[in-house]
Formats: sequence, C-alpha cells, structure tokens
Amino acid sequence: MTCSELREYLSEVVVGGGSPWRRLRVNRHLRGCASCRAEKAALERAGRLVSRLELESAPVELWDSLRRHVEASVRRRAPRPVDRLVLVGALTVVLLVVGVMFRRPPTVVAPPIVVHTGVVDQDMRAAVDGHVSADYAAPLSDPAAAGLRLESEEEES
Amino acid sequence: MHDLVAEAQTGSVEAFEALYRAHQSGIYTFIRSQVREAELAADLTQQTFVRAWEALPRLRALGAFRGWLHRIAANLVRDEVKSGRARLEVTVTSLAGDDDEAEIEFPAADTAETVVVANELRDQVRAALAHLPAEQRAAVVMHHLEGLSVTEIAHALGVRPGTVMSRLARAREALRRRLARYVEVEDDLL
Repeated sequence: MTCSELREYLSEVVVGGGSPWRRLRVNRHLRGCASCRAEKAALERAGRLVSRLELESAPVELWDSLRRHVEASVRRRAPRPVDRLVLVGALTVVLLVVGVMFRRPPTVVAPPIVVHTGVVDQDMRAAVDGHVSADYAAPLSDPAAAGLRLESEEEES
Repeated sequence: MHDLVAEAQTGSVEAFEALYRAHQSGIYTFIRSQVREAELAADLTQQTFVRAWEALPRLRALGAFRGWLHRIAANLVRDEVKSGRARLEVTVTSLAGDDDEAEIEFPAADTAETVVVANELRDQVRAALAHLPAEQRAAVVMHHLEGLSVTEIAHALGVRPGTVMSRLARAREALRRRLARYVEVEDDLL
C-alpha cells in the first residue's frame, strides 16, 4: 500500500471503520511510515478537539412549559368520576341489550291438527280416529297414523 | 435509565422530568447544530419531548430511548427544513451558544496568553464544525459531543451504519484540514 492509497482510507480507519483486512494493511504501512503516522495523529487530534466542545443546555424555562403540557396530558388520560359513572351506565345498557338478544325463545305449543285421511274402509275408521291428532312440529312422530295412511293408499291402488 | 423509561411509560411526570434533564442538552445541541435560530431550536426541542411523551407508551425497546429520542428530533428538523421555516446554515455563534465562555474546557488557561489561545482554538473548532455539510455535522455532533454509537446514529438519522461511518470519516478529513494549524503539532495541545 502506498502513502496516497493509505490517505484514501485513513480517515475511515481512524473513525473505527474499514474491513479487518484494510485495517491490517493500513497498520502495516503505518509501522514503517512516519509521515502517515503524523497524518493519522492529526486526524485523531481533530476528533479530540471536537469531542471537547460541551453540550449546550436548552433554555431553563423550557421544562416549565413542557411540564404544563405533560400534566395536562396526564389529566386527560385519567378517567374522571363522571366518566366512570357514564362508563358503568353504558356497560349496564350493553349487558341488558345482549341479554335480551340472546335469551331463549319461549316453547311454542302447536295446536293439534286434525288429519282427514280419506280412508274408505269403514272398519278402519275407529283406528284412524285414534290417530287423528299429530304433533305439529313432528308430523311423522305418530308411526301408527303414517302406517295407516300408507296402507290405505296401497289398498286404493 | 430503563427504570425511568418504564416508569415514565406509566405516566410518571417525575420520571419523565428526570429523562428530560438527562437528555435535554444533547437534543438541544443537536437541533441547534442544524437550525440557525435559537428560538426555533428551543421550540423544536420542546416538540421533541412532547412527541416523546405522547409516544412513550408505545416504545418497546426501553434501551433504545436515546436513539429513539434523537430520531424524533431529526424528523422534526427535517420537516422544518422541508417546510422552509428553518435555515440550515449555522454560524459559529449558533454552535457556541450565546454566553458560555466559562463552559469550554480547552487547554488549561492559567495565564492571560493561554486564555486567548484556548478561546481562539474553541472558536476555530466551532467554525470548522459549522462549515461541515448538515448531514456530516449531525453525525459528528451525535458521535463526538453526545457519545452516541454509530448504530444509534444510524437509527436516529434513518440511514445505514456504513453511511454514518462514511460521514464521520469525511467530516474528520474536513475538520483536520480546517484545523491544520492546531493539529499538525508535535506537542499535543489537548
């Protein structure tokens, strides 16, 4: 590595950058080159000069103004007693509405229906009369009535 | 610091005040290095902490607070510059502050002559810093004055760590050239 090549990379190495391989090459060159060592020292001194500048404080009144904003924000965040009452009331209404929406429907008792089977066999009328009513919700729940109907249809055919 | 951040997240004004005290000078110095007007710098510093307070409950990485705070500040500065309200040029005065003669600890000034030398050197360093491009100056102020790591600076400025390293290197070269008469000496004044 020549001196001009090194100068190209020196500042990068001085600030802690560069690949390990580049750093190795730079350091190897520096061991045998007083001029480049002086340049490296100058770059390091420039960094130290800046580092010794001190931070500047913000105007002292800034916190007072900021505190007012922060405290107002805290007051806005905290729920007030009135807010709590409103919250409880709203929650109660919601629960009531949900309760009404999801309550079980009342059981519907279907009125008995009379089935006129049109059976021609007079001997079977008594038996049919015993099965004239059927559950509205489950018309086939009376197998006897269903059987009679089928039997009578077979006879007609 | 983690505890303070966690406490402030719960709404503790006292914890937030402690965080403000710890970071206000860093944030103000950074903003002051980017905008010319002191009043605007103060306003942006306040806005930085206002936004931080409002967004604090959403901060997950408590250890990243400082970098996060600088990111807020950097975004505010960028928005101001875009809007045209802020002027980027900084002067020696804006980097020096208005009245901080006693704050700088440059070469021990035990005689009238060394006082003059120390003051001159300090002014020259500030002038050299003021002449850097804004993005280099931001990196230098965060790194050299505030001690932020390259990773923290990268996060704050929204760039890659390699970019920060490159800006620091270019800035160092420029500072070395401008401060040649102070850094090309056998006897280290510092």
